[in-house]
Amino acid sequence: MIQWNPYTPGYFENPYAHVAQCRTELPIQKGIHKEWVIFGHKEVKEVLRSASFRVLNLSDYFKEKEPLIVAPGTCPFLAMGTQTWIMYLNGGEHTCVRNLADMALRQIDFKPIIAEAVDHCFAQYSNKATVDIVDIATQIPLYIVEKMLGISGLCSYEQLKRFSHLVAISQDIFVSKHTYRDINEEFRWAFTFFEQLYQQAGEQNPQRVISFLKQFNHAHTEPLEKNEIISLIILLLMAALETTKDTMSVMLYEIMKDKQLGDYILSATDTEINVLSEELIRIASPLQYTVRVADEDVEIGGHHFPRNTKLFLCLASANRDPDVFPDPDAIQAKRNYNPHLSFGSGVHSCLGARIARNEIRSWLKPVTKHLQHYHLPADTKPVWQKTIFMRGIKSLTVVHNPSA
Amino acid sequence: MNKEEIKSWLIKMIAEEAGVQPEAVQTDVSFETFQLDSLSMITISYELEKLLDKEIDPTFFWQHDSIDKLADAVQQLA
Ligand code: HEM
Repeated sequence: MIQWNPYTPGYFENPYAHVAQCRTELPIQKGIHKEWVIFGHKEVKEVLRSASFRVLNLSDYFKEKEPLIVAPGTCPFLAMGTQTWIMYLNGGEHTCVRNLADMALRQIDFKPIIAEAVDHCFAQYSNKATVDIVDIATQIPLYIVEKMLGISGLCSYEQLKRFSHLVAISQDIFVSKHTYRDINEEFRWAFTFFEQLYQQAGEQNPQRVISFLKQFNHAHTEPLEKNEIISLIILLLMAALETTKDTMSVMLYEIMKDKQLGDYILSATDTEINVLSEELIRIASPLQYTVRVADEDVEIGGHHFPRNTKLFLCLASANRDPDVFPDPDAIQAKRNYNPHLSFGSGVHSCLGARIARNEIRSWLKPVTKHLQHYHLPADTKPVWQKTIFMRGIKSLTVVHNPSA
Repeated sequence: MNKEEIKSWLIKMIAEEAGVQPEAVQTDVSFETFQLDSLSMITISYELEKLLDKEIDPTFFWQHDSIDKLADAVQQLA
């Protein structure tokens, strides 16, 4: 019988064949790691929306493991860095921090920033013979993140890209102590960097999200500690950058592979662009798994799970469940009924979904227009990230067309 | 490295991670017996990969769940 194992050969290039086999043969099963994994759209959605489940507490996990992870004499940052990550908070604490972050994001008028991002990015590429589409997929959302946090020009592209990626990996499974140590160093850098910004933040400073959080916090009777605010800022940076970058990298690859798709985009109406954006977000499914823990004995899909059972929910499989999405592996530009779970569902559903949708919808046409000057050489395959919870391309080089 | 060398390396690593004496580590029982957590198993597979200079999946310890089975599997790697 098939057992879920993300180290099945070929998984990183295409996880969908393996998870489809799991969904068909054993849709609720114990994976290689001896924990429950759920593959069907109906059941995944049911768990996400159920009040009988809580989220894991990542920061508590790090608190317990940190002494074993970081070398003696090294300051641990993992638990502190993740302490106010919204997706790992429950109950009143979750509501409180989520509302705070929501208010902070609403201070910003994203529209003009989103509109500038594409041209700003491609201005750097006008004369380059080759371009890595992952750089494009990173630089466009990075422009938004830098404006959102007021950090434009304050640290290098490479530093932010590495930081965001490593910090995102702190949530993955099958991560060794060695990698956690690298992540610890990234958090160390971030605490120094953002602490300085936090000190300087005030009414005259452009770090809008940071200034808002600081001022709002001062006015509050039970303010968050400075380190809790910094943890929240790190989360917003990572959540906004990694998922959008991974979505775009897959999207750009699809556009480079399929000329018809590019032509369709260039002539599409606004409504058609919106429908296609949703479909591309389903296909990319950058967050492939999430975890929930039963707060009481529950029954899901005919299985009984005792209290405290941990369930791995395969969003990637749910998004390609043929019971909900006919011809699930195909990009159907006009797929009208599209209840994908790429943004999750229920109380923890993505706080940035509105922003992310606006980004993808606004960028699809201009990016495609720019990419018309490039082609994907025959036999060129992307190098995929070796991550399990997050899926995206690590690098894929496209080549400038010979000038006429 | 031959099988015996791999076994004694594993005994040393597991004893260290599980916080027990190497003499207490039996080679024919499941890793669960030593209450090794997943972080330790993943970390030992990473060390094993470096030691042998061969690609070892982090799930190796779940697939071959005792020292004897693991040492056999390592032998069979190309
Ligand atoms: C295409 C882009 C994006 C995708 C696919 C995505 C996906 C997701 C998913 C699946 C979750 C739920 C996780 C779970 O249930 O365990 C989530 C949560 C979250 N996302 Fe996004 N996200 C995207 C962009 C963004 C952006 C741009 C921001 C911020 C500006 C953001 C901020 C958050 C936050 C704060 C949460 C936690 C919500 C909570 O737990 O209450 N995301 N995201």
